[in-house]
Amino acid sequence: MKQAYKKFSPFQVDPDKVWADYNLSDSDFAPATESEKESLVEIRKSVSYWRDAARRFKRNTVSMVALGIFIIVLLFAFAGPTMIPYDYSNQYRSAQKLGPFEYSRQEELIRSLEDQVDCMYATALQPGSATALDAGTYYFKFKGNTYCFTLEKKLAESVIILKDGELSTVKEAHIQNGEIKRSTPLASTGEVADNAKEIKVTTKVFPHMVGTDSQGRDILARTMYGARVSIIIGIVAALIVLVIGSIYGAISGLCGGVVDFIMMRIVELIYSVPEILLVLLLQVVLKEPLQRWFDSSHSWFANALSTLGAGIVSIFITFAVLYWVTMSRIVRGQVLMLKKQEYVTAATALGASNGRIIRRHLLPNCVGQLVITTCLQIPSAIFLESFLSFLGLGVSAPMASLGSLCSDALGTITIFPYRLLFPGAVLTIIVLTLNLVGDGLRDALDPRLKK
Amino acid sequence: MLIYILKRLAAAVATVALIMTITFFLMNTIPGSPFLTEKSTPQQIELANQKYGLDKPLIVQLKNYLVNYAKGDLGVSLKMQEGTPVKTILFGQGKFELSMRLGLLAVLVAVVLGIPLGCLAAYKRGTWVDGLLRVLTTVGVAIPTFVLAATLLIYLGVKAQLLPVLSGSLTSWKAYIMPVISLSFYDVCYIAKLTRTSMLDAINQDYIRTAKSKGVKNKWIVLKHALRNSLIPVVTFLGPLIAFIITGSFVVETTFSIPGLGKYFVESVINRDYTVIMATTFVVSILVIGMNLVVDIVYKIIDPRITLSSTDE
Repeated sequence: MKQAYKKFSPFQVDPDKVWADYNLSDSDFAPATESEKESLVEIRKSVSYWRDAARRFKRNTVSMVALGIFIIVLLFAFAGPTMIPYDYSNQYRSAQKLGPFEYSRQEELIRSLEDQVDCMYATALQPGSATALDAGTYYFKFKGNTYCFTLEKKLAESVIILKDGELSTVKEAHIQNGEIKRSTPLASTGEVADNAKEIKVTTKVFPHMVGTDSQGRDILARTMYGARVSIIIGIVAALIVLVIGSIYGAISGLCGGVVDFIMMRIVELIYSVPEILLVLLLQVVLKEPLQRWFDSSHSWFANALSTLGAGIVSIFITFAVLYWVTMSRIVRGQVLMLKKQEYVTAATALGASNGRIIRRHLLPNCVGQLVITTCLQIPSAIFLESFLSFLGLGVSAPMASLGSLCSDALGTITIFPYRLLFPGAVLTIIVLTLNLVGDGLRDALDPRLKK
Repeated sequence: MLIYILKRLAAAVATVALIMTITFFLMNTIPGSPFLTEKSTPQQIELANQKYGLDKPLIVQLKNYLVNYAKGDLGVSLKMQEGTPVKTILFGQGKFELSMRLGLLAVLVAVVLGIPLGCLAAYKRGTWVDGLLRVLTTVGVAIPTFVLAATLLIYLGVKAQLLPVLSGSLTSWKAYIMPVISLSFYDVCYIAKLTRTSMLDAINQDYIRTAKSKGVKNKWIVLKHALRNSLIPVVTFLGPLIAFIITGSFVVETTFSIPGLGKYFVESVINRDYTVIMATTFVVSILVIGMNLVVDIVYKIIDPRITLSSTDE
């Protein structure tokens, strides 16, 4: 006790001494100066709940690595499509059923020109059913220069090449062993004519890194797009569950009594329903009425939803109807527990209004649980979506999600296993990393739960 | 106890009736008729509607359904196997039996493998065994059933040619391996995780310390004292487990071309065969709700501290 007293007292008082022994003068009783006061201020800053949680989360290596990988997957899904020249819905007729890093005959031909020309435009490598270039005026930009040219007649199975500033067209048949046997010069101007259409030129044939499907669509591009769709569905579904579940649970917990009893019986009822049966039914039932509504209504809301497609919207509705019950139970449990805490009683005794208690005491103490549950809801939503899409419900073509990609690949699994394994692996990584991040968040936000 | 069981049974019957009602109304909001094909005339549809009682008011149809179901009459298929009684389709053609064989085997594997693995991880806590199992189970719960099923199919079925690619009606023991692994893998991992956590929880309890101080061997502490108490969360999971197995069976039966209940249900939903959808929903609901009831009662037997009279948590 004596030791502790000495340690924390700035005046070094020894209680064994008699006061007179100290030889105190008047100056010892003068008010403390600013610098003296400062030395008394606690050195450790108070740490807020969130900063504390962030610190704990950062110390969790597994979760940090998982978060890093998830961010890479996010980049893959959202920034990736801008880095490759292929699109998820474009069909390349010349490049059907290719394996990883395989090239079709035309692509090989055009690849052999890569080193000889500055840039080129190959009709065979264009997407769509009609790849030929119709007669007309076109322009393109390359290294700051603009080139504009006019085609007298339709151009098919040919390559337009730019070599030493000169434009010419080469028929595919005239390329042999990487050599151009015959070419036709094409007059060009630097000015863009009024009715000219822009074409995109390339310097290299971009490889199909994971191959293409039977309709000549690039699987890498489709997987990127599918990952994006799956992640967005997961997040939106989790948010829907968060909003409905927490409002329902909070009302039930706060009101108590008969209201609570009835609301919880409803939850129990939904709980006992074998949800997967109803999910499948809802998918089929909702599709057509939704489609009809999209077609007839012109409000911005209907338009926004119709771009998503009836399949995705019915997944959201399914979550809104069936999957909020777990969240509502958690929130109700939290509210019930917090309601009985001493600090809430104290606040009530001090005359705090209900609104203030909710804002100051209940909400901040619930937030951790809400974040954790929502974060763990995302992977389970992605799981459900991929399950539905795999069974042929969920998203519909030409849209793709990771589940529908796996489903499409199932038919040809014996010949092209990577078509299923690649999106499947991406799906697994997304779910795994989100699970680990969720676990890390739980440890960080709710240290009492840590095991 | 008896009163509790009777109460729960009544609630279960009410839930099944409610599910049937919801399913009935959901199905009737689907536009179009099960008899609508490219060739059918309005008269033919009218006739078929009359024949199967679909021209009556919805309430009357619903009443007929519920009354017939209570009598055990599941009606006849309207579309997929027109005229055949649904009971024959589900039970007579071996669909139900096939799914049950697969499902029960998967549940068995999940419990028999999952619990010991969880115990092992808890017993060897902090060693490489624990670490390995943790990585395995964490990855295991993140792999979707169809990805696992397809991976097995590619490597064991197509590449190595060890196991048959099409499982068919599960006639040989080899045909079981891949479907059962894909069906139970998630649950093995989940149960192992759950057992480990609750086991570690139990190990920190006072009675374990008492047992230790009495000189009981470590092995016996884990098996006798810790295991029994840590099984409660695992038993709770067995209810949802049945639901998971059913979900999985939709995917696994599709992937391995097994003509079971799950595959047939998905097909009947897509084909809008009303009576088949209703009957399958009925059968699966009874299974799930019945299992939940059984689990709750087993719960009581394992842990006498739990009182069954109140339904509040």
